[in-house]
Amino acid sequence: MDKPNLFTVNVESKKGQELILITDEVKELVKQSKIKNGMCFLFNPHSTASLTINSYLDRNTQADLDSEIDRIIPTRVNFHHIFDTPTDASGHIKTSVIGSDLLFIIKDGELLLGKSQGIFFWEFDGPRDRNVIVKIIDC
Amino acid sequence: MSEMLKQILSLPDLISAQVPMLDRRVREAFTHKELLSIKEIVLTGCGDSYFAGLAARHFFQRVCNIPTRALPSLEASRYDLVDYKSQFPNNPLVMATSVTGKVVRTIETIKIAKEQNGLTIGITGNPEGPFAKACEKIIDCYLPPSPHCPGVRSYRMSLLVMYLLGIHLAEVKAIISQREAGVLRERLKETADQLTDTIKLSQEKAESLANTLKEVKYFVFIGDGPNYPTALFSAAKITEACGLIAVPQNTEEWAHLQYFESAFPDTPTFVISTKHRGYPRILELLEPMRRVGRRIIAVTSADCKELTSLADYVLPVNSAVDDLFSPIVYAAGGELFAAYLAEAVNATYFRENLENYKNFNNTIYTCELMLKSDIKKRD
Repeated sequence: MDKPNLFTVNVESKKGQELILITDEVKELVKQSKIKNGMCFLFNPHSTASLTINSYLDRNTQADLDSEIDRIIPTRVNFHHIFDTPTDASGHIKTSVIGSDLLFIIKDGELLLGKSQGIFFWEFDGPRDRNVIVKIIDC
Repeated sequence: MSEMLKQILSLPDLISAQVPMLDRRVREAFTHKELLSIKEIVLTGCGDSYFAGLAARHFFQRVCNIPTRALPSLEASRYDLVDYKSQFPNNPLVMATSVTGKVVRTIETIKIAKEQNGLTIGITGNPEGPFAKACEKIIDCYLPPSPHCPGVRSYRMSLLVMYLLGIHLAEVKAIISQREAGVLRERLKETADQLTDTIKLSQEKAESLANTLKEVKYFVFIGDGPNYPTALFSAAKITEACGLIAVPQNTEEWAHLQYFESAFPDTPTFVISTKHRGYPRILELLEPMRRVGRRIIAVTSADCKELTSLADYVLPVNSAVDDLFSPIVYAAGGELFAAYLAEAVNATYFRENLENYKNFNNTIYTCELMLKSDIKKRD
């Protein structure tokens, strides 16, 4: 029987903008896949949210990331995209700058992550119900 | 089946089909900068278009937290906007409705609003007409032509546009999240099913009631809040469809005026009420209404048990209707009754069969358009 290798992580954002740690959920899926050596590919199918890796040790790092992305890409009132809200418009730009996918190496059934590294789902236009698609490849 | 009835029965499909299209047009009408600059709103029009503004006014105040007034076009142009210039640019937002796109008084209102630096948007079924040309922005509400009858579809179109703009304005102002805005849009769409259910519940009753009351020449409709305009709209349908006298009244004002009428003690009095803010006052008025001999027709939902149990007749409304969007659904009772009454008394809509209406029909629409200087000259 084929090993299951395609999964979804459900994420419920509670704020307009926030970083949500999903490391444990991804590690659990790697375990469920029973794949010992391979790659883990994360894809975020949303256009106003991103995936990123950063330190999870100090919550202030996340606060800094949030305030810095706002400094680089502030929410303005003169975006061309007027269909939704100004925060939605800036969220689209933040998503393109930060990116929508991540790739990890799996060795001996474990994700190769640095000690302080966490996997974050970065909401830019919440609160919303989101999901992340996880593909685990044996190689 | 009469044309008016056909159009009433088409309303659920109309709402389901139009909400997504109108939503897109509304969202693309304004820049964020324009929406965020709105500090006050004037909703205006004539007849049903004015009633729609009265109904939607509450939504802008309660959900968008923006002071909003609804005025008939003549009041808006010659007595309100002309005397008042906002200290803020692009204010007030003047949202005017003219279904035909030719109503001179509403065009006048738009021109005065522009003279006073307001921001103007028109809701119209005639995007090439003079009204549309006068407005800075328009929401195209064109519907394929259908035989002339008292308007029921255009009233819902106007309401949908105003509610959708209110929802979008609230999300852009970050008063509600996009998720909450999505929920409100869904609830607005659900009025289609609620209307289907309401028509199913009340259609036969409206027909039977119309046959019972076909000798009556005078009707009263009362309501309050978002459904005071439902009383205005329902009464208008009786006059347009049947040529009879139908007086709309605010719930409270009935106690101060119609209560004293003694010419026709058994006047059919339509009490239009949700179970919200005005309901306790409605209940207080039922006893005096009965005491002076009125025949009470409740246009209400089954959960308003006190009202339904004291009424002589009930035109039932679906129980799940959201108070904010209730004018869309609560108008069904009155319009169904008007359509069936027109059949029962063999009336011709808008008296188009009578010579003195037919021959002079157009003269009432030939009127002078005044700009600010013309109006001020008359002071």
